[in-house]
Formats: sequence, structure tokens, C-alpha cells
Amino acid sequence: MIILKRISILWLGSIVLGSILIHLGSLNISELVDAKNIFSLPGGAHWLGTDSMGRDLFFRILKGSGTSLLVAASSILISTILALVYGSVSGWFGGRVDWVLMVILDVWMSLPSSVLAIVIAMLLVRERDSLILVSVVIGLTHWGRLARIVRSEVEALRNREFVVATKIIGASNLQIMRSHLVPHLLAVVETFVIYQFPNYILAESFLSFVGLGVQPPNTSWGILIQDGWRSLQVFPHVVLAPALFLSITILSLKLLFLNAEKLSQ
Amino acid sequence: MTSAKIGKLAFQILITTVAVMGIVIGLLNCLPDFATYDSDTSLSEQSELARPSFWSQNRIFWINCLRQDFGASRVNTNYSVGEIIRRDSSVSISLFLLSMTISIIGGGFLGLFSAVRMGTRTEALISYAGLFISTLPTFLIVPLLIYFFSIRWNLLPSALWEGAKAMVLPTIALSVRPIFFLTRIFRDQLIKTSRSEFVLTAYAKGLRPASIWMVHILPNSLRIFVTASGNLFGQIVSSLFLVELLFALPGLGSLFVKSLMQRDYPLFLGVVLVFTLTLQIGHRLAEIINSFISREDKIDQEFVR
Repeated sequence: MIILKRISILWLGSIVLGSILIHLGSLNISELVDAKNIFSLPGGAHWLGTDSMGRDLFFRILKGSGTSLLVAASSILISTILALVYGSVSGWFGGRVDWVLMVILDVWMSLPSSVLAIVIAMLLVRERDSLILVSVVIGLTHWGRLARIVRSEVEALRNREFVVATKIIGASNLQIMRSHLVPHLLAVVETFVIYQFPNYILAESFLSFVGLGVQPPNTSWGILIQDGWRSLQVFPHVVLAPALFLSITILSLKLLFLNAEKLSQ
Repeated sequence: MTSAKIGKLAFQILITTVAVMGIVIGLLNCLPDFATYDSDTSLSEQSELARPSFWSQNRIFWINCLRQDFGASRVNTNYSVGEIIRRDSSVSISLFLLSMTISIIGGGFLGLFSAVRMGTRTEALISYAGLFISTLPTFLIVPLLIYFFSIRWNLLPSALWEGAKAMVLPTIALSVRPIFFLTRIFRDQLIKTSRSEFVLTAYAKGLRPASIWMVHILPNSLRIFVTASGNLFGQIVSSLFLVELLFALPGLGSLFVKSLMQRDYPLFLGVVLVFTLTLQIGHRLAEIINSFISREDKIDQEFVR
């Protein structure tokens, strides 16, 4: 178990490091076109072969992993902030406010997230290359579950003695939220982020794969898989290489935070 | 299940559907060329300047719904929206039902099996397989399946919906992830139940393990399984349109994406309505089945008292 965790840390670290180096490099290796070697097989000068334009697949994947991880991280940040605000308002004020907010949330969550993501992405992202917009779309479609957890947590905290005591002293709602609720909620947020981060990576690559996420001159795992999908019949390595990177990253994220008893969480 | 409760569920479904359609119509209003179908005014009259307000768009949509008239598709003008949806829904429905049944049966069986055989090598193998599958998104499962089964080994067709053979790959692609999702949830719940005190009592009484599993542990773990299967509705529907696109199946899912890409708004709204209703009914169905199961629970509790 320990050795698996060490391997996953090593993998994640080298991916992050590699993508940072690629982004920092003044020479843009991932965009270099080797026109004589279109679709060359793995091995030789190009470690993982080249894609349809003769660009080195290994460097493309490294660059794409940076984008994918960045978008996933910023979208999880967006949905955490959204869920914290929404959930604590709903749980803190209770009563009619709570009812209305929860009905709205129910309606929002009754649409499947990928359908919702496609509709919003159609409106926001299409043919505009902006990583922030992609993150907003993913953040907007995935915050519901955390909001529900935060709400029930705040509702449970609201009537605890120390919160009531603070209220009696005369602290304002905002002060109580900042000094008492937020520290308690951090643990909840932490578990959510740890367990949901792989899903955010998958959401990003799904959107990019459909063509509504990161836009082509830029690259991410979804874009690379979409690119290889067209030449699957003849050159499967163009799909398999980014797919392998995506799967191993998600596997190592899951292994890293795995309890020995909860094997398949 | 009283009629009042059924009425309440129907009301919930109705309200949620109206709200969802409101959100979708509101979102689509951001697009410059959006227009709802209206039998009284022509499309040219609904230009940017004379666009009806959000409320009247919603009103017109629901009146058309009651008339069962969604107008003609804006791209295939020879066909009405109802005709196109009816034509394409058969593929989606059969694909959906197939993968739903397979995932429920497979997940239930694997979950029960790995709970009964807890600690053995087979159980560990199933858990690791589940972990591995959960790292593969649907849009990766599809290329892998196509590459191995239809390109490498040339066993099954890679596209279209002709004959029983063509159904195999899309069904596998849709149900692999749900199977292991259900397996995990069902197994955890079964193990949790099997550690509770009444099971220990049953063992102490000297009942056979098989009958303890069938009479005590299984029925008491069924609620979670049913709820998870209800959640599966949404999961399968959202991978449905990706699978349909990638396998080039003429279904509602590919219709959904195509109609939005082609800005065919009457068709798109019709498809969204069908999806929303299906999902709502799926969620409530799990609730209804659970209410039957929990009624038996209540009888048990009264008996104990």
C-alpha cells in the first residue's frame, strides 16, 4: 500500500513538474511540427510518437496535463466558494429562505451535469479560448452536492452551545460565520476536494472532448483524445497515450487518498 | 401508496419540469437567434426586435405542449418535432433499458457475491477492477472497446444500430461504470448490515448462513441499492448521448447535441423536455419502490415493539 502511494506521489509530482517546465520553456517544444514524421510510432526521436500534424506527443501531453490540472483546480475552487456561500446562507437562516434555496438547488441538480455543462458551454465557451470560462462552466455544474453537505453541516452547527453563546454576546451573523462556521466547514470542504478532484479532471476532459472546453491551439487531455479519435482505426497510439496519462493520474489521485479498508472509494 | 401521495409526486414532477424548462429557455435567450415555436406568428416575426418576453415564451411553449404540437424542425422542415423524437427515441429507449437492466443485475450480483465472499482473492479482484474502471471515463471506454473488439479482433460492428450484434458494444460502454458503482455501494451496505446486532442474534440462534443472508441481510440492504439505481438514471442518460454520438446511433442523445449545434430550437426544447421528464420519473420511481420496501420495515418494527 505504502509503495503504491509513493509511486502515485512520484507520478503526480513529475507530471506537475514536467508541465511547469514545458510552460516555462522559451522554446515551445509542444508546438514544433515535424512534417516528415506524421503519426510516427512510439520510440526513436519521439518517445510517444507524433500526432496528425507531426507534433511530439509526449510534450503535447505534458503541456495538456498542465492545462487540465489547472482548469480542474480552478473549477473546484469556484464550486467550493459557490457551495460555501449558498449552503451556509441556506443552513444559517433556515425557514423559508432555506426552503426556497433548496428547491432551486433541487431543480438545478435534477438536470444531468453533463447536459447542463453542454448547454452552458454552448452559450459561454464556443469558439472563445478562455480557461476561466471553462472553469466557470465546470464549477457551475458540479457545486450542488457540496452545497447540500455544507447546508446540513451549518444547520447542525447553528444550535450548538458555542454558537448560541457567541450570538448572545452580540456578534453579528458575519462574525459568527467567519470565526466559528468556516473553521468547522474546512474539514468537510477538504474531504470534498480530495475525493472530487478526479471527477473535475474527468469533467474538463469530457467538455474538451466534445469540443466545448479548451479550444484547439491550446491543448489538454480531452483535446488530445479527441484529436486521436479521428485516426483511431490506423494509429491507436494517438488515443492511447493521452488516455494512459489521464487514467494513471486519476488512479494515483485515488490511491493517494485511499484508506486501506475503503478500497474502491 | 395512497392516491394523495401519487398526486403529490406528480405535482413535484410537474413543478420541477416547468422550472427546468424555464431555466433552459432563459439560458437560450442569451443566443441572438433564439425563437420558440409559435403557431400564431411566423419565425420572421420573432426577430431580434420583436422577440416575445421570457414569460410569454414559456407560456407559448406549454400551450403548445398541451396541444401536443411542437412545430416543425427548423433544419429538417419536412418533419415535425414530434415525428423526429418518436422516430429516434426507440434506439435510445432500448439502449437505455438494456444497459439499465444489465447494470442492475450485474451490480446486484457482484455486490452480493463480494459481500458474501469478503476477504477472498476474488473479492479483492472485483474491488481492484472497480477502481480501475472508475478511472476510465466513458469517452475513453468507447475508443478502447472499438479498437479492440471491432478493429483488432473484428468481432463486432463499431457503429450504427443494425442487428443484435451492433447493440453489444454500446451497451457494454454504457453499463461498465454503473455496474461497478452499484457493486461498491451494495457491497458496503451489505457488509454494514451483516455486522449489525440482529444478524449476530440470528447466527446465535443457529440459523443457516444462507437463510440469514436471504432473510435478514439482503432485504435490509435493499433500500440503498434502489436509491443508487435511481441515481443511475441520470448517470446513464448523461453518458447516453456521448455513446450515441461516438457509435453514430440515431438516438435522442445525438439528437440533443446535434439540434443544439444546428440551432434547431423547437427540436432541442422537445428533446430537453423528454430528458427532464424521464429523469424526474426515474428519481421518483426509486422513491416509490423504496416506500414499498420501507413499509415492510415499519411492519417489522411494530412487530418487534
